[in-house]
Amino acid sequence: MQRHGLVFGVILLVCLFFTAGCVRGSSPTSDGSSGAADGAFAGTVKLGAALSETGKYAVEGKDSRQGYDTWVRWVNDVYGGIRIGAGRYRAEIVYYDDESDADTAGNLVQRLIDEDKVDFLLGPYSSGLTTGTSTIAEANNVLMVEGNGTSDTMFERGFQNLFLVATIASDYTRSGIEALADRGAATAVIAHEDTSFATAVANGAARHLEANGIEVLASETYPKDIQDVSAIMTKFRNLGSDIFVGGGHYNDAVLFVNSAKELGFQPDGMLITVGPSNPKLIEELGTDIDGVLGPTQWESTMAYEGIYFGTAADYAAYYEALWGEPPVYQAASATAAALALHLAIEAADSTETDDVRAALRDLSADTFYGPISFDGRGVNTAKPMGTVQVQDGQIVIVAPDAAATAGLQYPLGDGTMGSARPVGQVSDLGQLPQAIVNGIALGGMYAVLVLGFSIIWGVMGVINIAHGEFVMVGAYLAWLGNDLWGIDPFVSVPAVFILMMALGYVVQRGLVNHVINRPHLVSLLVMFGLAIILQNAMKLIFSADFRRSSTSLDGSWRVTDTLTVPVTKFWILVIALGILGCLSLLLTRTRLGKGIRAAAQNREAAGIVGIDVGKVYLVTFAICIGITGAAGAMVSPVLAVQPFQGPPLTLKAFAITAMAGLGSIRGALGGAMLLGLVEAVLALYVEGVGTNLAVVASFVILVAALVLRPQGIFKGLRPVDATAS
Amino acid sequence: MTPLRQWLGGPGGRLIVRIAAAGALVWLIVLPLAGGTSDSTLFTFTLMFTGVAVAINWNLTGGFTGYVDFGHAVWFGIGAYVTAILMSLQSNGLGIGWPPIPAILLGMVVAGALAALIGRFTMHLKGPYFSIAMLGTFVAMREIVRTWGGLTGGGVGLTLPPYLNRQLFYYLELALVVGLIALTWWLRRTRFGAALVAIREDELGAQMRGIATTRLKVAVFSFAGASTGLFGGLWAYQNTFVDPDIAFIETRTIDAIMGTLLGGLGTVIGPIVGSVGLYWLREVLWTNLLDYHLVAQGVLLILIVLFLPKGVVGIFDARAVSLRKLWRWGATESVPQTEEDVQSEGGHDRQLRPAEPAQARAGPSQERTRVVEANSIVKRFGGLTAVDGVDIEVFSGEMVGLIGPNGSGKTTLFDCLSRLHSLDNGSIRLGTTDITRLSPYQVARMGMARTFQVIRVYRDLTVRENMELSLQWGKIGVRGLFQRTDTATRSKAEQLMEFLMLAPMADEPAGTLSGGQRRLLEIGMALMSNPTLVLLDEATSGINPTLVEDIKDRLVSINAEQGVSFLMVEHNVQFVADLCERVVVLDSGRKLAEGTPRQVMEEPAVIEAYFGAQGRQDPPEGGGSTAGVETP
Repeated sequence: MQRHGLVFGVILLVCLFFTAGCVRGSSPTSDGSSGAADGAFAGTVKLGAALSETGKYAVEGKDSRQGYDTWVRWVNDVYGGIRIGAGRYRAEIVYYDDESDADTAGNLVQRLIDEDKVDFLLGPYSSGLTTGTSTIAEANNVLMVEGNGTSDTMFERGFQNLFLVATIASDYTRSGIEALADRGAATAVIAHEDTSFATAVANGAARHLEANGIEVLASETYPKDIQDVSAIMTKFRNLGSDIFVGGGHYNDAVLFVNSAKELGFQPDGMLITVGPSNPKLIEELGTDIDGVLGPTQWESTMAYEGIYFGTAADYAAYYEALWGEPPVYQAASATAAALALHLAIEAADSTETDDVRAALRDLSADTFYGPISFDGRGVNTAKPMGTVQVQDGQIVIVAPDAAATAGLQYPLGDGTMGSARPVGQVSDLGQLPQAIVNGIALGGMYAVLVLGFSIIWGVMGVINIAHGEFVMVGAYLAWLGNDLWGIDPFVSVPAVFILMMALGYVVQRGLVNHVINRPHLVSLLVMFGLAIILQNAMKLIFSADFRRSSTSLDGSWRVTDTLTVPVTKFWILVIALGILGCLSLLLTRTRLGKGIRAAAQNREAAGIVGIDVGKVYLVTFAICIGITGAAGAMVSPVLAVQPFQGPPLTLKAFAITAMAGLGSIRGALGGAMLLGLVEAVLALYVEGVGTNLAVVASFVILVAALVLRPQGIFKGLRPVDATAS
Repeated sequence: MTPLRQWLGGPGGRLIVRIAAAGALVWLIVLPLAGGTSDSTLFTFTLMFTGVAVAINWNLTGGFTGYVDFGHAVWFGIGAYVTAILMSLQSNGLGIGWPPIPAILLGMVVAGALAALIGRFTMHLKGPYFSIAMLGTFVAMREIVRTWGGLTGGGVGLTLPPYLNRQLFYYLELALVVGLIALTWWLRRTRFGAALVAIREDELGAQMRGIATTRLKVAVFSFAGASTGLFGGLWAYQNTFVDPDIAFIETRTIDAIMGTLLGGLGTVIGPIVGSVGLYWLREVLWTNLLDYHLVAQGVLLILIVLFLPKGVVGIFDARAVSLRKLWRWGATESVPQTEEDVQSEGGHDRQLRPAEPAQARAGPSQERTRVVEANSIVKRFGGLTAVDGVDIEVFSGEMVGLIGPNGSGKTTLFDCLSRLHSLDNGSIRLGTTDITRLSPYQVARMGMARTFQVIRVYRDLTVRENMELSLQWGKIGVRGLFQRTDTATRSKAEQLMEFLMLAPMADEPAGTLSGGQRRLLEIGMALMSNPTLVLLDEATSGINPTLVEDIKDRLVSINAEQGVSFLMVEHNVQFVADLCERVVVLDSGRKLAEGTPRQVMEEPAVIEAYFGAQGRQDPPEGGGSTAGVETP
């Protein structure tokens, strides 16, 4: 070992020295013209952008980059270069990958300004990254024109150098709400993710609702990456409102539509911030999404036209010829941002910041993207937001009237969202049965998710911090089967179980076995390394997109108007109980089970009486990983499948296990039910931020349980002994 | 390779490190002044300084103290948020916006105070429980900040008035990092630093030797929190924008852990080397691996854990701590018995020498003062009453034996006396003070030292370090805590090692000693604190008879010369008979007999307890030594 360490260390050092020369390692990529007519240009206008090639915004980052590059190709190859004075100037954009990380993006923008000496900046993707980078642009007096960071807060800072061609977040829902108000909607409920962008959209929506005489009955927030909105939808169902406004992420749209269906919440109109304009959503939700409204910055069917690029449809055709796929609005916004800068440079006849800024202020142009004209904040207020509606599986534009391609369907009648009216006011106590059902359904899910973690810890003393990642891998397997061959995830559970057992076998043999005799820290760190590898490997293979298996066991059973039972979660609970029962029998009634329990209590003693502890560990680990993967398969229709879904599940598993006793099956069930109920009740009964609180609950319970009862609450296979000295 | 390595680990290496450090510092100071150094270079370095600082702070609790914190970035987020909230009060319409410096400082204070508060609770947890509790704290705090929208701006976050002077921040953070490095370097050399290492090596042992472990570990945790909070505040000010997801980001903790592990845990330069190395490495991985760099990071972590547990520094510096040595509590590794240890345990024919301890010359015990007095001690474990109403007292200068069959409650009684167990009933006085409710470290500081049935020494520290760590913690005060070991302590350790025949292995790690030598070391450590009473728990078990004689001699002379009292649990009845004037016999948690060794051995109840009803065919342990008791 010592020698290995030395060799490894020396290699590492050599690497470090080697790389010391490459501090400027992050290499820019750039797109100018293909060099065809370089000689013809009088010079170069250099632009720069930090865009996400990796990380959570990798997909949108790629779209934005293609949007910018569309303009570069067009301006150099088709248009013949930016016209300044008598000369034509070649456009060039220097790109860096900001890894979707704010610190990195800031650093890279600084680098673009200092080292690449760009004349102008184009925006990164997302409000979060634009906020930080625009500050650096402002401080260095470099103009930044952008189309994909729309949060209002950015434009309340009085910056002089930041310009947005897209419609600002607070106006996202404006045309939709106006159309709905025209058709007689009187009451509304709002649910939004508590991030910068979604909050701005929701605050704007509240303002527009009020301006149009629609009463807001309730407003709820929920945290990012939410996996369950049933409490919010239960509240809304009972309030009986005409329209629902909500959203934040693509995945939230799926949750809202599914959850509304499960709980029998049928408003006359649903306006969801992000998602409905994306054809993928129709693929995923089928007819369930019919009638849902959503805002869109731009669609290729919109009736806009400009001097450059022609109509929206012309632009789309040009784009598709370049990239082999139709443009999404993020790409169009990016092209429009570059185009606005281009127009301002030509109007100013200069590349001086002050001249171009003045020209941007004065700009008033019609483009394929819509009219562009900036107000004092730097926001394009000329372009209204479009509103789409899904009608019979087609995305049609219903507002504003100027861009509309079809009439608004409202209220939703038979055959679409359903015809039943909301149930109206329900007393606090009346909501309790639904809270309990939601809680039990959630608890059943947690129980099956926790079991493997609990037993591995109880029997082997290994804290499997990669537990959530095994759930994730199992979920991906089920999703693959579902996506490729249409196998129902419940049907594929046995196959996933066996495959995951094999994975467990390999991991135990290759990794865990080497560290099992060492203190906990070693196995903890090794499993942590494995978790990082699994997350990022799955991201490389499947991308960070949210996936979801579809099952025939979906929908809900309606018991009364205020009580529905979600079918998928019910079956998860049934199978979870089955697995728990089988495992319990295995542990208590078989020789293998006796061996496992013996090894858990005292491995030396078990070894002495002739139990092959190594084999016991191997079997335990394989079975537990199998169960964990199977759990992942079962929940794949309910929890979105994505590479980074694991860590919160691991923490929940830890919380439940520490409370319920290591390796205790009954404890796992009890603890999971308790946590599920606490979350469901909190989410339902706390106004406004209940869903946020429910997310905090498990962590607070975790810390409190450990601090107050370090010796554990229930008895497990091995004692919880958390007291230091 | 080995001589090179030795040289690198010795003075030569230190010289190189110093030259390199000085060179690097000069370079870093000159860098911004050199023409052509852009703001973005300075920004890159400023971010790196932040990373290094967070890793150093993490290492204070994780590396030095052994508390591996998985949520350290929480303090960064809190520092950032307090700064942001105060500075944006005006724009939020909540009052007057604070200027940056007081805002950042208050952020630091709040982070430190919260760390002290939370640490007070979570640091009662050990190993993985602490790690995960902190991870939970981290996530909970992020969600609380998100939910508490009125003050924190919720998920939308807060925007600060922009002020960007890269050069200023560069120098500010450089100065702070250099200061922090100097501080840790100095801290490592004080008694405080030594005490932290003692906590990592054996927290219970440290407590029993008078170290206020809770106070010290929470203090260092709070300091680390404040320091990370300071850098969080600076970051918020530079970033001009905070939201829950960028202020509380897991990667800050992960980077700190990875950097420290890569560099070398528990060393001063480890986190610096590791964090800078990681930074460089990542720049390269970025370009060459792009998508794969995060996968590579996971692989790197596993490789470090499996093949480089001491980090890069560990290659040159033997003193670096292996990450495998953390969390070994319950490390009840049995004392390795060397051949000579077990040789002829009973066959050693010795003449019984009448001992001449202090008590023999000090006259009747009534005239002497009581050192310890325990009344009707009761201790239950669930349904089992391990100690059931025992009274025991020891007079000054007295040597008392505590014997009894296995499971009679001897060690439990010891644990009660040294305050390791809470009592179910009864009271204990040490001298004139009631110690019934005091902590183990307080009792140790008041002059009650002890040894353990399962030897507790700091295995990875040298014999000398072990001895010097067992000083009189109560006497040094707060100032003494921040000083190096003084010459008085050193010469006392030297003398005791000489006296206990440990001088030849003074610089060997205690883990390499034989069982008997470790017993001697433990006794030496107990004596370092100038105790009035020493509790010896089976000082002779598993030790070869020659050494037992040596131990006996040493105990007699300590007792005679310094008047130290001893209360000893022993199975070696001969040993007790030789040393003690008075013996207490326990059985099933009750006091069975008390008197001179001779008296108690003739007591029928004692004989029955030891040998059962059939009588006294065989003597207790120690071969033919009962004969010795009967014919002194």
